Amino acid sequence: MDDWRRIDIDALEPENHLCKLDLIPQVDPVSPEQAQAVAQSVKQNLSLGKFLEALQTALDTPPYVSDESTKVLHAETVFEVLASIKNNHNASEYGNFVSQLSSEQQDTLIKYIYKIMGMPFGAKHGALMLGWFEKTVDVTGMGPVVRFFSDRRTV
Amino acid sequence: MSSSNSPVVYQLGHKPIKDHCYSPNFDLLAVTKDNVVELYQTSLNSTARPKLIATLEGHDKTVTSVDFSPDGSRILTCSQDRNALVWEYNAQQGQYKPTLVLLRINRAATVCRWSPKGDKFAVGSADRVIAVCYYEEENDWWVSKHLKKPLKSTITSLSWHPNNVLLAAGSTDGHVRVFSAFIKGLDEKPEPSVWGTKLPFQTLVGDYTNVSGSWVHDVAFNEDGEANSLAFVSHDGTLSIVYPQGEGLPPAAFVSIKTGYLPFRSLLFLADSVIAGGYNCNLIVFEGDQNGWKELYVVEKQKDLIHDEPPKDDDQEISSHQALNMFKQMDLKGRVNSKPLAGSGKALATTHQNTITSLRWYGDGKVSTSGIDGKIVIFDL
Repeated sequence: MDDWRRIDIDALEPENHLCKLDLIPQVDPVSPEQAQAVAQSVKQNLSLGKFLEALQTALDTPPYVSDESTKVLHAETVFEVLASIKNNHNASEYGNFVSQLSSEQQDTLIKYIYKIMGMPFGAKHGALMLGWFEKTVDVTGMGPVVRFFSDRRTV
Repeated sequence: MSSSNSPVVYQLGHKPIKDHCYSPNFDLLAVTKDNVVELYQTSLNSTARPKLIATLEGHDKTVTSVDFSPDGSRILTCSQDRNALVWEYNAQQGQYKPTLVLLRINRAATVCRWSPKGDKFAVGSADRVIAVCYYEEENDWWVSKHLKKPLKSTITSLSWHPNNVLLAAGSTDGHVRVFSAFIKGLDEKPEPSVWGTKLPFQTLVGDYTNVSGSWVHDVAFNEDGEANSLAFVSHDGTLSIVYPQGEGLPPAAFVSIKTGYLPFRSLLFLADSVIAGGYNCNLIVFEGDQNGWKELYVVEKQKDLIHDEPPKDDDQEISSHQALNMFKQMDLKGRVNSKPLAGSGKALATTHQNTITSLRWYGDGKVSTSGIDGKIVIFDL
């Protein structure tokens, strides 16, 4: 046999693979209704001017395990918070918001900044997202970026 | 807080070094380089460049790991060619001779480590098994028993417990597992410990994971003699330390600290301190116990990549601003500016100019490191 290097050796022992199911993070799934409810309460906080609370609520409830449309819905919620903080504050105040977040929330924020930058509505607001990115890593350092790239709990 | 003595640097060519190991008396140094292992003659704390005395040629793909046996008489190597070899010096022929190891794996061997007594060793592989190997006299070769379940991913790292039986393995599914590698007829029954009492081969006595599910790059039992704790570093830039409580019980403590550095590739764990290094090209020292861990200090001064401030003393690194100018020049004129930009040396501020691939203990509590930049460095911390 000449091309023995091309044999699909994995086919010989199918039970030993890490399959997609094995890689699903061990966290509770989030339903579209739950994401919708979070979006509502975030909007309420924003209308009351509680910007930090709105940001924290949105970053505490990322739908790691759910369908793509729910993930997009939540990304839009986060985007709404970031945009409305921008409309009501000076860009130099972003750092204050970021430093009041927990380390877990900061990691999640960076994940959403990357995600939103890759979406059509985020691409239109490049300056806003890059502004948030700059102010966030200014406070947190490179850690959250490293975790965005390596975390299997994707947003 | 950084060391007063400057590190000893050996630039051994420019090819990447994946792993290195010193003999127990530090007069021999083995480094992996492509498909071979180079053996150098040196002496403890010598500042002279080590002298190449032998090249161990036997693998036909990249050598991934090298380890000296505890008595220094044998060198273990493993490679992506799916083989491991045990090298011994043959005085009659005046050269090192390899002995075959029957690994029985279908994918690359990724890491190999001698057990503390040196009567067996473990080889981790991309074939989702760990081969625990021991010598069979009748046939003059090394045979292996496989640790399989519940492994489903590549093994990246191995660490032996001092009782010669327990073996910790880190893998790319984000798990660290502690197995019994008890070989009947070879090992004596181990003393009961926090890890368990009855330990037949393949018993899984611990299974830990990081929250992000990212690759585990290295794992180490505490080298304080008791080995009642275990530390590991993951690709999400975290360092985790586990304190098991006893058989069937959840760990007494599981401390995980997030760092702001690029991920660590290798670590050393002794008593209440951990030294870790990796993609950040630097070493970081941590300190702590069951109640918590914290970063103690960074060994070498390093430029802050986020804030783009040049280090105060000597600016050797190229800033993003200078890089931008350089590319602008190239774009405009189609060539690189022939005059060197002021202070635009491309060197990093750290000794290692690329990823640190492995950390080992050196004499007098020092640490030796190897890097992708082809350097072996001895740090006095």
